[in-house]
Amino acid sequence: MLVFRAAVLSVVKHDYVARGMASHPRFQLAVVADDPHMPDWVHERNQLFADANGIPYLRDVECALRDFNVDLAIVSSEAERHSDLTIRAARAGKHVVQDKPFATRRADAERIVAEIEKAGVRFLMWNRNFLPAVLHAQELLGKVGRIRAVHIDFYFAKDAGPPKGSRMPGYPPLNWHAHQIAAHIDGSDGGVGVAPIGELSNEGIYPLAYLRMLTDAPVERVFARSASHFHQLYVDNGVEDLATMTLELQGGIVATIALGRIGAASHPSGGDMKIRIVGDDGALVIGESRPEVGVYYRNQPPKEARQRRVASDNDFLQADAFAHAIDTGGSTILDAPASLAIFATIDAALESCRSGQVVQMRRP
Amino acid sequence: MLSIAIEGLTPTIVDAVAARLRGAMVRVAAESAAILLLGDPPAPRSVVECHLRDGKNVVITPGPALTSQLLDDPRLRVVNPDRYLPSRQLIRQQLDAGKLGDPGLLRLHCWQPAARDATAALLRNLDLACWYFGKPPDLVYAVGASALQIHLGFPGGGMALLDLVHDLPATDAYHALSLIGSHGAAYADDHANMQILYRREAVEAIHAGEGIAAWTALVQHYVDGGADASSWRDVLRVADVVRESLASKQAVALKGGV
Repeated sequence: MLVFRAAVLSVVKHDYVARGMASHPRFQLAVVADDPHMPDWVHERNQLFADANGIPYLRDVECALRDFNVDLAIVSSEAERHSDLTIRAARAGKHVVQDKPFATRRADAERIVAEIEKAGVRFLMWNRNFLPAVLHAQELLGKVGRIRAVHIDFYFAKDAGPPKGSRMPGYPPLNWHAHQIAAHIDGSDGGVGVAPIGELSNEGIYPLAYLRMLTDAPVERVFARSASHFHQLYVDNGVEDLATMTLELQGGIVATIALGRIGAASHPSGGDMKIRIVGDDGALVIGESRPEVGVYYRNQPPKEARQRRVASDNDFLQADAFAHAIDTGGSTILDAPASLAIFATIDAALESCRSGQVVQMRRP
Repeated sequence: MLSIAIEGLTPTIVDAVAARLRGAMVRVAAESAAILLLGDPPAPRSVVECHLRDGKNVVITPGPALTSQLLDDPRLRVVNPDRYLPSRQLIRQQLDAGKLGDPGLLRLHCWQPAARDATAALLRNLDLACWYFGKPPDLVYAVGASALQIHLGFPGGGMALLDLVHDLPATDAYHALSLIGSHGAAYADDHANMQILYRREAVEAIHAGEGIAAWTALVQHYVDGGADASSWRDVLRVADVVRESLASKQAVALKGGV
């Protein structure tokens, strides 16, 4: 069995991508690396992860890619560094598994696609498409006939600092970067980076990846609304924590997505996530968190989910599919062109939020 | 004591409502001061006008018969049965009590088998959205036909997604409504309110319905003088804008409100 060795290029945001890949016996973490000029907190976090996994930490990305006999890079840095690290790995001939968001600027997103193609390496955008309920939805599609509409709810019932309206007169606005760094301890640092990013950019990848897998139809028109409705952090930084999209897809399919970081109080188990599909011959309502088990007990911590997801094989299946793509030279479940298409949809949604108008997608 | 007639519901439902009613008696139309036309599909305009000509007070559910002109008649009242469902009432009570904070997102799915009236569904669900937000929207985008998708923007940043399917290939309807506010959220989803029947040939999900309570509350509200026609002009205007958006394939702003 051929084992692929991975360089973890920064692990300052989530370490679940690296851990997820390492859960598969064909992937082995070999080294953690980052650039030397990064601030201390970045090095500290990378070092901790390297120590926990018994592998070295280098303050030299190129050395890690060159001297450690690695086959792939796993990128989970601050959002605005994703494209740079991915492109450097691709140029070194390494396959890439990258955390969300794909990029923070359109030009960077397009560069990733070009460089991945030029290097002839495989690219995987980390996603949730192999969750049991999502696979179940895909399996049941044949029973509803031609798809007419897909509706996805994707809410993170999490807090992000103090609630909206809590900043006292005269106090400075909350600093995005500082908040995200501090939020790492409870895993709510999904938007870590210097520049603020709203939940369309942060979460949008997941439901849009579901939509892509379920319909295989490109988005043609986008209408969206957004608001900073829950958290002072999002108000102060001018980004959305709640958004809705109406999408018109090729073939006459209409899709809607509702997403947001809607506050911990709004759901006892992390968020009500649903996929609803209407077809010519029937309809489906799928709970994204199922199968789940209710667990309730005395003195239960308030943030602990009451309904626990079970039987998820998402990590293994993503890694397995990626290994297969490397073996065969085939495409991945969410490759660079697909990730660019999702980026472009989110970009169009943000434009629609600003203009109040429907946005026609540009042809690739 | 007020005498009312209830038409359009089954005798069983009418009897059940009558047994629970305070301050009114249910009689036949000829003996009643007020006629409540609560059928689905809604009563046609000719029937409504006939009762008005006879000098009756008339209560209707929204449907094709409802026009701005009809609303000019002070004897007419319009009621939305959906508002009176215990689930929708509970959500409204939580909102009014401030437990959910400011409404930010209303997500509503109304999938109905082909026999149901599409105009009624449109008006009833637009009314629910306006009712929960306490104001009409200022931006509307609509797409689709038999599966109609309506996207509403409200002054202050609230938003709503209304998903109305008029030809669900099934024998039962599906409804789901979630309201996400700045302090909390409420979810009323048939998905969570199904009983399961196991039999040799198949497994069936059976809807746990909300019973007679909605009809009782609706009729009692009217008897108590609560039904009000004023907000229906707003709903009719929003419905016109939905049609305008469908025709133009563009988002339409409601300049100066409705």
